[in-house]
Amino acid sequence: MKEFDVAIIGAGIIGSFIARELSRYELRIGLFDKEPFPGVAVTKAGVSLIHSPLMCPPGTLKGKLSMGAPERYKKLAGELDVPFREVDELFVALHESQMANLEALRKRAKEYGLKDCELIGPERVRTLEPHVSEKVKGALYVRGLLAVYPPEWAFALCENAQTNGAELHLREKVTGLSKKEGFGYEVRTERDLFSARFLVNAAGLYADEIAAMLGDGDIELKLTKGTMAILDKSLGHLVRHTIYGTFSGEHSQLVTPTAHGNLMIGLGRFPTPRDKQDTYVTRDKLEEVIRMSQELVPALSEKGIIATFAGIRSENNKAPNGDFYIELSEKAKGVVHAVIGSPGLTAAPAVAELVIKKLQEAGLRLREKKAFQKERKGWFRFAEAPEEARRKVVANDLRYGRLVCRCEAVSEGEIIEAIARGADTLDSVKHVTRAGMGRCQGGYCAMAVLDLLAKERGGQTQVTKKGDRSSMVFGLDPCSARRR
Amino acid sequence: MVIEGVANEAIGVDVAIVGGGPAGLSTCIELARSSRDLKIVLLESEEELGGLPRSCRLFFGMRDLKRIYTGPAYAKRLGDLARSTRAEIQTEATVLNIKPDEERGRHRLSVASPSGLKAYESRFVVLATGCCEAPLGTRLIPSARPAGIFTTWQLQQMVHLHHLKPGKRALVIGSEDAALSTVMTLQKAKVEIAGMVEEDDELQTYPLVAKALSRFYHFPIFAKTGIKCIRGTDRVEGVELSAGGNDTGFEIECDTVILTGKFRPISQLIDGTEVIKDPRSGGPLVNMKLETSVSGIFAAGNVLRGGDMHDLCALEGRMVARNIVARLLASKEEVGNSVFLRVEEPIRYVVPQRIERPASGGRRGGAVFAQPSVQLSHTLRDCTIEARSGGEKVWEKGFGRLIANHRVVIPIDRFDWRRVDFERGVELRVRG
Repeated sequence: MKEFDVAIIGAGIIGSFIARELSRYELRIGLFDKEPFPGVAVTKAGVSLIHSPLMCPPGTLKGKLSMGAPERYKKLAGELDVPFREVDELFVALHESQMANLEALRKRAKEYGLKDCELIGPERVRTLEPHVSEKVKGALYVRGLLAVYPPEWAFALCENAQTNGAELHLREKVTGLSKKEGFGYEVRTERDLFSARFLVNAAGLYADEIAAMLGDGDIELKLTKGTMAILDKSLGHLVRHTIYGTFSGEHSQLVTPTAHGNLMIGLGRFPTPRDKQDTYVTRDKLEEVIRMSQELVPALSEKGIIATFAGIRSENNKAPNGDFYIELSEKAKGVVHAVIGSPGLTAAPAVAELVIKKLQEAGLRLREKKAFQKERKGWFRFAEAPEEARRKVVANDLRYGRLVCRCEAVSEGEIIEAIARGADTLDSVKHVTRAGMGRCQGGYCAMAVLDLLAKERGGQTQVTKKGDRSSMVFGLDPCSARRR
Repeated sequence: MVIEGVANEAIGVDVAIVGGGPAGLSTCIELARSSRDLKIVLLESEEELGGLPRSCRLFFGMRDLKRIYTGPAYAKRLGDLARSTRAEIQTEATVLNIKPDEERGRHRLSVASPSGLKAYESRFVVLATGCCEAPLGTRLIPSARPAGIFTTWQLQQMVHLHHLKPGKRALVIGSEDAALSTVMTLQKAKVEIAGMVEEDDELQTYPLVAKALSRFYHFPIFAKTGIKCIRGTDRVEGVELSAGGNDTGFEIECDTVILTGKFRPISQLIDGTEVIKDPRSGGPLVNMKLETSVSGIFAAGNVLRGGDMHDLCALEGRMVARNIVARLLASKEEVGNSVFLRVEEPIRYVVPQRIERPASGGRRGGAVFAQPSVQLSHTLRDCTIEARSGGEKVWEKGFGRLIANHRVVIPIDRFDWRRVDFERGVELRVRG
C-alpha cells in the first residue's frame, strides 16, 4: 500500500495550492480528484476574479484571507508562468438610494485598510466606463485587482507540485476513509488503496461527504447556483472594469472582462440547485442575467453571447454568515477540513497557508526541501506571443504555425504540448489552450483536437469531452469503415 | 530557415484572397482567366481546398458550373481549377490580421502557416472566409453542456471526413436547409433520427422536401415546439420540449443533438479595422460591386451574410473578380449616386447594403453589379415586401410564400427612383 504523509482530497484551486505549498517540504504528498483534470469542477464555474475583500463583512475569516490576494497571485504568476489580467473594480450605484451602500462599502474598505480606493462621481464613472448606464449616480473605485482563468492556475500549481515530488491522482474518486491503527488513515479510491498520515479535505461541494466518512457528519452545505454568460471578444472593448451593481448573499449583478479578453456577465438571483451536479443553465435565469447586465451596461446584447454556464456556490453550517470553516477535525486526528465557498479563488493562497498551519498544529513536521523548484514553465502561446517570438518558434517547429483553432489562434504545437502534459479530454485541452473557446465554440477545431487526442488515447472512440462517461463519438461509421 | 530581417519584408501581390471555399476559389479562377499578369495568392486555413462542400453530400454546382456534383466532387473540381491557374495557393495558412491602407493602396496581411510567418501586401483583398453555425451558447438553449451536441458542420466532418458515428439516436434542432442535409448525413451514418424540432409555426425550408424525408426516413417533425432543456451532464440523455407554444412538455430520448442553421459570418478579421461591419448581417458592409467601405477590399460569399447556397457564393466570387479587373482597366473610378438600404425584422439583412441608381444596361465600365437581396428570419406566407424612402413608397411586391434564409432579390430597377430621398436612404419592410 502506497503511503503518503499528506493526502489532499480535491484538486480544485484550494487543493492545488495546498499541494504546491506543501511540496516545498520533505513530504510525500498525494492529491486526489474524481475529475480528469485539476480545477474543472466548482473552481472553473465562478466569476474567475481575484477581487477585493469588500463583499466579505469585516471580522470574517474569508475577508481576512482575501486581503492582499492580488499581490500573492501576481508574484506567483511569475513563478508559474500563468497569465492574468489587471482589472479595477467599480461598485456602481444606479439609484440615489444605493449611494448609502457605497458609503458603507467605503467604510468597509477603510477597515480593511485598502488604499487604492475612492468614491467617484457619475462623470468620472462615465469617463472610466463610457458604456455604463447613464443613470449611474456614483461608484466606489477600487484599483489593483485581477482576472484569471482558474483551471490554468490549478493545472500550473499541480504541475509544479508534481515537479517537486507530489503525486497527482486524477479520475480517482475517494470512496472511503478509515482510521488506521495508531496514527493515519486508509484512503480508498475507485481504483486503489493508499495510506496517509494526515488528510486535507478540500473536496469543495463534496466536503460534507468526505467529512462524513471521517465521522464529522455534522458539516452541512447549503448550495446555491449562479448563472454566467461569456460574450464575444469583439465586445471586449465595451467594458474595462469589473462592474458590480447590487449584490448580496442571494444575488449578484456583474459585468467584467475576463483574463483572455472576453466579457462575462452574471450571476443573477441564486436558485437552489436540485443536487451537486445541477449545473444546468435555465432560460429564465439566463434572461435575468442578461437583463441585469443591461441595467449596468445597456450596450450589451444577448447577440454577443457565445457560451453560458452555471456554477454552484456553497456555504456551510459550521461558520456563521457564510464564512469559511477551516479547522482540525475534532473527531479525526490529523485531518483538516477546508470548507470554503465564495470567494474561494481569491482566498486560495491564504487558505493554503492556514491549512498548512493547522497541519503543523496537528503534528505535521515541515522540513524544507533544498531542491525545491519554485518555477514552472508554461508553453509557447501563439495568440499572446509577440511577432518576433512567433517567427522563431514557428521556424523551429512547424506545428506552431499550423493554427487549429482560428478564433483563438491556437496552434497544433500547443495542443500537442497540452496533451503531452496530461490534458486528455476535449474540455481539458480547451481549458489550458483555449482551443474551442472562441466564437464558433469548436465548430471548426473540435474534430481536429479530437484527432490529436485520439493518437494519445488509442482511437477516436476513446476520446471524451469531460471524463469517462462523456464519449464524443459512438464508433466508426459502418459504411465508410467497410470501404476503408 | 527564416532569415532575420528578410522575413519581415512583405511579399507584394495584386490580389490576396482570404478563404478557399466556393467564393474564394471562384474569385481566383475567374481572375486568373481574365488576366495572366496578375499576381494572386489564395490563403486557406484548412488542409484542403473546397470549404464546406467538402463534407456535404447534397447537389452542388448547378448555377455556377452548370452541372450537378456531390459536395466533395464539387470541392475537388473547384480546387483543381484553381490549382491549374498561376495563382499561388497556400493551404493551412491562417490570416491573422489585415491592416487596410487605403492611402497607399496596399493592404497588409499577416499569415501563419507551417512554413512560417509571412506578410503580404496586396492592392486588392477579397474576404471569402465563409460562415459557421451558431454554437450552443449563442442559441441560449439550457443544458449542462454534455458531450453529444454537434453542429451540422461538426457532424459532417465527423461522418464524411473522419468516418465516425456520432451516436445512436439524434434529435435535429432547426429546420433550415441545413437540417435536410443533416438528416441525410445521419441516415448515412446509420444514426436513428428521433425527430426534427422547429420553434416557429412554419418550416424554414421547402416544406414538401422536409415532409417527404420525414415520411421516407420515419421521423416526426415537431413544428411550433420550443426547446426547454437538453438533459444529461456527461452525455446527452434527452431533450425536453414544449409543444404548441404552451407549457405542455414532453421529452424525446436521444444521445445526440444536432444544431442546424443559424449561420453567422466568420468576419473577425475586420474587427477593429476601418472595414465597416453591418451589425445586422454580421459581415462587412458592401456596395453593389461587393466592395467594402475600404477601397480595394472586396467580400464575397457567406462572409457577407451567413448561410446561403454555395453556387450563389461562387457567382459572387466571380463577380468580385470581374470588378477587380474592371478597376484595373478603368482610368478613373466612376462614382454613382448611392443610397443606403435599411431593413427591419422579419428581414434579417440586405446585401449589398449600399446601392446605386441603376444606369441603362446594368453594367458600367466592365463592372458587374450584385443585385441587393434580403433574407428573412422566419418563413412567411402571403406578405408584401415594400421599399419606402422619406415617407414615400418607392416599390412593393406580394409573395405567396417566403422561405426563411432563402435569397429574395430586390429589383431596384423597378424602384420609383424619382421619389427616392438619397439623404435618408431606403427602408425595406414586410407588410402582413
